[in-house]
Amino acid sequence: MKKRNLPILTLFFFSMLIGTLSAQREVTGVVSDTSGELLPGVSVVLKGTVTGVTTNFDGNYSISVPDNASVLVFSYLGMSVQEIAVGNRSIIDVTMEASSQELDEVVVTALGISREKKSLGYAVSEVGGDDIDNVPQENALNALSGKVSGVAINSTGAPGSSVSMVIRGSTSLSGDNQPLFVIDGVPIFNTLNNVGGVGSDNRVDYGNAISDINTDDIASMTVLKGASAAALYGSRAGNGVVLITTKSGKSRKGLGVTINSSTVFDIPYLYLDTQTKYAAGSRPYTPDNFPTNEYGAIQISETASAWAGPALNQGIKAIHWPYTAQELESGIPVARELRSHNNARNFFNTAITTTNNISIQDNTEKINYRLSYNNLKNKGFIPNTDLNKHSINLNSSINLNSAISVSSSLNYTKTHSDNRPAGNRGANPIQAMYELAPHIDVRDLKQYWLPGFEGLFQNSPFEFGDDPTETEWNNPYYLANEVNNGFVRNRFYGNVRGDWKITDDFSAMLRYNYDEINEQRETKISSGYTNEINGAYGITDLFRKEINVDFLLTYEKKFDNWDFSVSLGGNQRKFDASTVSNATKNRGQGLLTPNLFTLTNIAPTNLDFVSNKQEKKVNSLYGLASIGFMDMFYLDVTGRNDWSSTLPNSNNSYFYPSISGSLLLNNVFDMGNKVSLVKLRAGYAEVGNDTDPYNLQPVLNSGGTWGNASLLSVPGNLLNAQLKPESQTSWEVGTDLAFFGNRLRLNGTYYESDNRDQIFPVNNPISSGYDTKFINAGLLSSKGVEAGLNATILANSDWNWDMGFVFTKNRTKVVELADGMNSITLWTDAKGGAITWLGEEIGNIIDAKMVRVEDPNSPYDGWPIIDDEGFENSDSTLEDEDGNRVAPVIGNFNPDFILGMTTSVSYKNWSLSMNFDWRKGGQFVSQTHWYGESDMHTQRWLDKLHNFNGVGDIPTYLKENEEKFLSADGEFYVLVGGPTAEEGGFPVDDGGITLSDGVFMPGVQGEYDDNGNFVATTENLGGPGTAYTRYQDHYGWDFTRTALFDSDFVKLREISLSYTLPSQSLQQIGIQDMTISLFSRNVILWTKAGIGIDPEMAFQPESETQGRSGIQFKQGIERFNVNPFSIPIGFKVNLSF
Amino acid sequence: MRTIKKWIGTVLALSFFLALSCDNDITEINKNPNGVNLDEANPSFLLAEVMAKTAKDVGDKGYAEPLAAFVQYVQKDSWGNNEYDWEGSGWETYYNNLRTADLAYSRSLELDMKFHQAVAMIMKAHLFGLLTDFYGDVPYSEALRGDSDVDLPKYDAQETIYKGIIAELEAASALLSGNQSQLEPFLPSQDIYFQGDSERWIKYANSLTLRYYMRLSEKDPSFASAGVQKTLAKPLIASVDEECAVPYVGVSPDDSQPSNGRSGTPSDFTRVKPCQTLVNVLDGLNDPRRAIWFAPVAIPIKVVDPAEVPGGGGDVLDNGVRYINSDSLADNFTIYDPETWYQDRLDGLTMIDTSSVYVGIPVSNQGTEPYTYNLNPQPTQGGNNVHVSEMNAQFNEVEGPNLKARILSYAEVSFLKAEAALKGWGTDAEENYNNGIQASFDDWGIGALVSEYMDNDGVAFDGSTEQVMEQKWIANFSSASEAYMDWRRTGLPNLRPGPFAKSEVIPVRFVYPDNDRNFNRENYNAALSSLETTEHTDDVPGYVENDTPWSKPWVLQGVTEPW
Repeated sequence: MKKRNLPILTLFFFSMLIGTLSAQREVTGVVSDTSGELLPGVSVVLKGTVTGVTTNFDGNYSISVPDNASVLVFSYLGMSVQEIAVGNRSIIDVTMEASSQELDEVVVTALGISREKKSLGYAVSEVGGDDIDNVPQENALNALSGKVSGVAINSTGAPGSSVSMVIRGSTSLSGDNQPLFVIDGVPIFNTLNNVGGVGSDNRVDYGNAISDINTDDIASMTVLKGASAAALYGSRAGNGVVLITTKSGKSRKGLGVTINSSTVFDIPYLYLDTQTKYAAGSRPYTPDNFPTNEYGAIQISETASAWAGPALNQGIKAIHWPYTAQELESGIPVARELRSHNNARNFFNTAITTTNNISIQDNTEKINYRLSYNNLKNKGFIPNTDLNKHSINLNSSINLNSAISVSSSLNYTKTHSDNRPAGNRGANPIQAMYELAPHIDVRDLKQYWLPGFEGLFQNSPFEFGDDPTETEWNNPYYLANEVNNGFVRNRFYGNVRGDWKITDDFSAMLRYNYDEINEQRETKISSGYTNEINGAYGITDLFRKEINVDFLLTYEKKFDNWDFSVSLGGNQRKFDASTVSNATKNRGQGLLTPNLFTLTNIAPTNLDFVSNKQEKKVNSLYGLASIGFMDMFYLDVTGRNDWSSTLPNSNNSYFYPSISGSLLLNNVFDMGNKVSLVKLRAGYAEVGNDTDPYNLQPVLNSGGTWGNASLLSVPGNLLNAQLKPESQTSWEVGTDLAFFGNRLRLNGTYYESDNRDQIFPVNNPISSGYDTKFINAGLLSSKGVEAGLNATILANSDWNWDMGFVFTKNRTKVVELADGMNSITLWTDAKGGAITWLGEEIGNIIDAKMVRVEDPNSPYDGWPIIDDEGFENSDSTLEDEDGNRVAPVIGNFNPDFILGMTTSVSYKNWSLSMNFDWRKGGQFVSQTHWYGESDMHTQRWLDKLHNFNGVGDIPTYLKENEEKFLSADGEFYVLVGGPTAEEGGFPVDDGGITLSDGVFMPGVQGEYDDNGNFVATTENLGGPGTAYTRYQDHYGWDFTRTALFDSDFVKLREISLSYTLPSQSLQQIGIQDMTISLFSRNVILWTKAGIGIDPEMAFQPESETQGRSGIQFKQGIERFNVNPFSIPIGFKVNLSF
Repeated sequence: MRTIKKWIGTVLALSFFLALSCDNDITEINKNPNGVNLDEANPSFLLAEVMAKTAKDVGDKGYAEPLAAFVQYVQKDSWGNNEYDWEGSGWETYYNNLRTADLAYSRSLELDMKFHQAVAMIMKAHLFGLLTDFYGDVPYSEALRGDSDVDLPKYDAQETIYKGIIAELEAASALLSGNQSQLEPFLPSQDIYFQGDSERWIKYANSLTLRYYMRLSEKDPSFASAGVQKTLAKPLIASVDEECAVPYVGVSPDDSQPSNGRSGTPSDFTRVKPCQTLVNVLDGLNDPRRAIWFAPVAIPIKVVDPAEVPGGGGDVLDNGVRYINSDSLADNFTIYDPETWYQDRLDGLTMIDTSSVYVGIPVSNQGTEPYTYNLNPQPTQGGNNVHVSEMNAQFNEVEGPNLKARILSYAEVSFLKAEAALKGWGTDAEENYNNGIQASFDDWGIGALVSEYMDNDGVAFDGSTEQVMEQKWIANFSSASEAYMDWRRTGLPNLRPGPFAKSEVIPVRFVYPDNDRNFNRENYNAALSSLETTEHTDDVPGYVENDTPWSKPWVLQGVTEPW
């Protein structure tokens, strides 16, 4: 596509340069405002060209025009644009009128009702046009990152992965807190839970459904952040609403065709900082001290998970994988020099994403339509991974007569992939690649079948003399190529609506909305995967359907200075879902015939089959009324009643009211012409949330089989037939300000919301027969600030420079829980967890305590207490007997704030725009490090060991630096020593061999006497009595802190440089518009942690929902979600006829 | 007129909408189609679940979990629980299973299905028996009532529970015997223990009753004596064919041999190693069961005079044997000796086990020792150790002729009878002793070797309880929890933890799970007063009050064994 365009492009450049200067004549004039003041800097442009001038200091201009048919366009910030036909005049004086265009900006609000932005009593944000078009994003939500205040957007992985959007913080403990997405009035299905996988430890994120939307079809997105804005959506409004308006044929007159094409190359450049100093093994043997073996040479322990073996790149020779056929045949291995390799760089590919879009639109008096087709192809960083998407959209509208119109929006998307990579631990090729010992060259693994056992066993490092088929390691190329997680997702959504203008004041709308998703997943695992040695196969069919039927009656009237409108509506929602899955049992017998992927190739006893159906219905009636007075004061009242099938008869009807108002002070008082807008607003609303189907009465679950017996078990979670809806009450106050003819715009909102009656399971003693019980309880309080600042710094005929900032800060506290419940667990992992105690903040990460001397009279007060083997003690007690937390809070996965910056500069036909995103604060746990470093895999861990060669007497030195090495406020988990004597290691005898790979942890040995006084037996400071361990045995495995990192980062979300070809020359060959651009996106500029991991991707996929968070991702923790950092380079061409 | 028309139109449109919305009752659709309603449950499906989960638990605890290390059948080479401070694995398995058993019981009552009712009673009694065995006082009379009235059940005294379950077992046995001719059928495929054979259920219930009477033999001899005598008169498991041993089917980890290397990773198998204590006893008796349970060491070590080292040198591998020059050994090395090793280790000596065939791991070695043991040249967690025996390769499989969850064996019943006879509560001590050994050999597929074995030193019946309990301990291999209960009751065999265990005595109970301590605090606190604090209660800090593995539950209070 692109290539074919190149010659045409060249032609356009030339035509632009040469230009066409024919008979010209001068037009002059003076420009002033309505008060007669002369306006300097007004842009005067010849329409359809880039030719233009600006008025001088006295408001005068002079421009040459080709002919009488020319049209001049006068524009000045804060003033209405004027187009004036030249005719035969040579002097044209112009009076510019203050524009109210920006202030009269119309936004789409709840139920698709268009409103003037100034009349709203709550905060809404809109992103549209260039903000979406500039840089192609596979997922529409990514186009919102850094552009909307109050919103936190996180990608959980590479393109095609789920994207999480949380507005104004978490409000529900039981759900995934994703907002409701409404496309052209159609509420569409989306959850963050689309992780699945057949086979043991094969967890695949298939991407959440919101990614089915074609970004190229989006005209604008409006974010209704608070309950006040969203109250009309009732029980779905708790997490905010994103209204998406797709492009229609109305945007221009007549027939047109638009073509977009873009290609992005994601070039990896930064990887995880694994160490390349030592081979796999438990001790850094050298030829002199290696224990005898039958081959008389150092032999690398290829099965060792630790990388604490002999040194690399030192000329040391050892027997190590791969072995030549000759060696294997003769049984005599050859020792070869140990070298390190740059495996990550050799393994990852440059990812390529190509997007093509074509649309046809037409607009006549009777009918308008837009038909678009989009195609996306992605090849991932990991070999053999891809993503493909096709989508078709047809928006049309027919005016039957002056009163009745019928319109529809129909969308079909097919997303498919032959292989999505697994995340977390297990079948994740990235894990396998990073766990490959550094003495092995990943390229030796490209032939991923064991020679002679093709299709049965992996080619993977094994110790000479061992059975190569009994490997415990996965070959990353095997995982990439032979664990195939394919899927096809067909989605159809759309609506048909009729609008009837019954009288001038009274109108009615009736709409039928349909949304259906069919996802078929097929996983094929060949023989040889360590967790499924005989392979695995499975097909999963997911079906989701939602039908909404709604109507709205609206009456609008203007009486003198009063604007008045009332609407009444109703909605019926029906949701159906079903899942059918057939697969081999996890860690079962695998496939009968290797690598034949059919269900019939699974032994009946080994077949795991699941089917599941869900149905839900909600009926609603709602109304709203609004009153406006002289553009000064507006008041909105809404009310909605829902009847949900998921709640018991007695509690299934609930009412949600809201009220909001705004005051435009600039229209009340005369504030001079520098002030364009001073608006104060406030809103209050109550909304809520029902629950999932079938949470009222328990049923028996199938417990599988034992031989031919079928098992049925009683579930351990006690359901509750008395549930009531969750409720959220919230209020917000805010202001919108604009100055200097709208060149400087500010807005700010403060909000608080209280979420009560959360539906979640609480713990029961299992001796009662039930370990959890569904209840309504709790209070979650959120408060936050959102602010935006936009400025037009420069605006004249050649230059335009806009800058904008958005600021987001949110805090959510747990104020109440159920009786007797002191904390709420979102997840636990890596010895810690995201657990929040009463009065504390959601997102807190807790850890075990390091046991230290607690005796103020002891000289060792605060020192770690070391056991006689040299290890620290940890105390993982979470809370005391009164339920107060004792576990230390070591961080929080939510940021302190998010600051987004956008800027765009245009000069004539060139424009440059950028969008930065800075997240300040917050922490995440890297299990990649926790696991890897426990096996000495990172350079960071080697660097952390203290080499005290040359400090003199070590005990004295440590005591002199007590604050740093021994106190609780000092460095966490101090280790002195190293793998070799040169690196400060101490002699350690093990298995009869003494090597200098010893380390010790500074602290004190001893215990408390009966009076509670600490009695030291030995100072563990490197003096006599110090307990040394091999450094490979010493890691802070009992602490989450060992692998806790700051999440702060700055990302360049988008940058694009584009050039719009002059339309005059294009029009001669029938092209209306052509823009070419060079762009990049999601470039990580800086992370505070500096460990080669994108903190945003600290979302660990799990196959089950986690803790009480109701989502399949653990937020704030990652395990091998470590795609390389990349520099994307993209090109885009936009062409319209 | 026009306006009226419009209003009519509106009303029509609205009624269209209302028609759509009233197609079915909103509460009707919230009936869950994905499971069986509780009031429609078939008891045989519930009971199959209870049987399967019980078999899995007993099998898991029997082979590789810490109890198997407590009774010194096996040790783990890493990640192990060789420090003898295990506090138990929580009791969810039992109460989860009991919840289902409870519904099976009430459904059988409703449907008047006496066979199923009796099986439910037996399974409930068995599960409560295991609970009180391990923990002491536990919620019993008020347990399992979270769905009706009791969220926070009180703990019952261990004595109440033991006597309660014995009464239940007797009632179940009577229910079956008394209605034998009119019992409804139990689907053979659903009865994974006895294939719907009510006779065998009666024998099983009676044998279980015998086990539990004997459980109280030291604590309440008069009650036990009467009960044992009464029970011996009833039909008991009388052959290996009748015993309760459920073959693993090997379809999923839930029904496979525990800790096999096939459905897990290979190291799941290799981490489990023979314990030297059992190896020593089997060596002493020249017991052929060694070869069924363990594998010969891959590379034995020989410590020899300098002249005998092939090719000279200090440490040479030759023809599958590692030769070490005895002169080259430093002072801190010693050859493993079953008599002195304990003191040798306390003295800081590193041991070399020169056994040529079976090398086990001694109990409670220090730190990394389980996997560095015996000069392992490649010491890594879960790695290989060519100088220590592995388990027999059959345990690496998911299923096999010898791989079963052994819940109650004929061997056990025979040894129970032998022991009772020695106490004067029964007869034929020697015959039952011999039957027990024969049953064990039969069970492991080497019945033909038994006659030769009986001639070995120390095997022929000598009339001592020590001998009966030693043979019972050997026969209980892969049924570690029963061996543990026997040791706790009788102190036999005389097991002691190794030199570096956290306490100098082996734990006698499980610690109450966090779940109940956190969510049933008052009742939990009340239960602590029934535990006897011992001199070892606080050997390991960090527990709540006396809720430690070294406090004594009722059954051990006032008796002399095990310590």
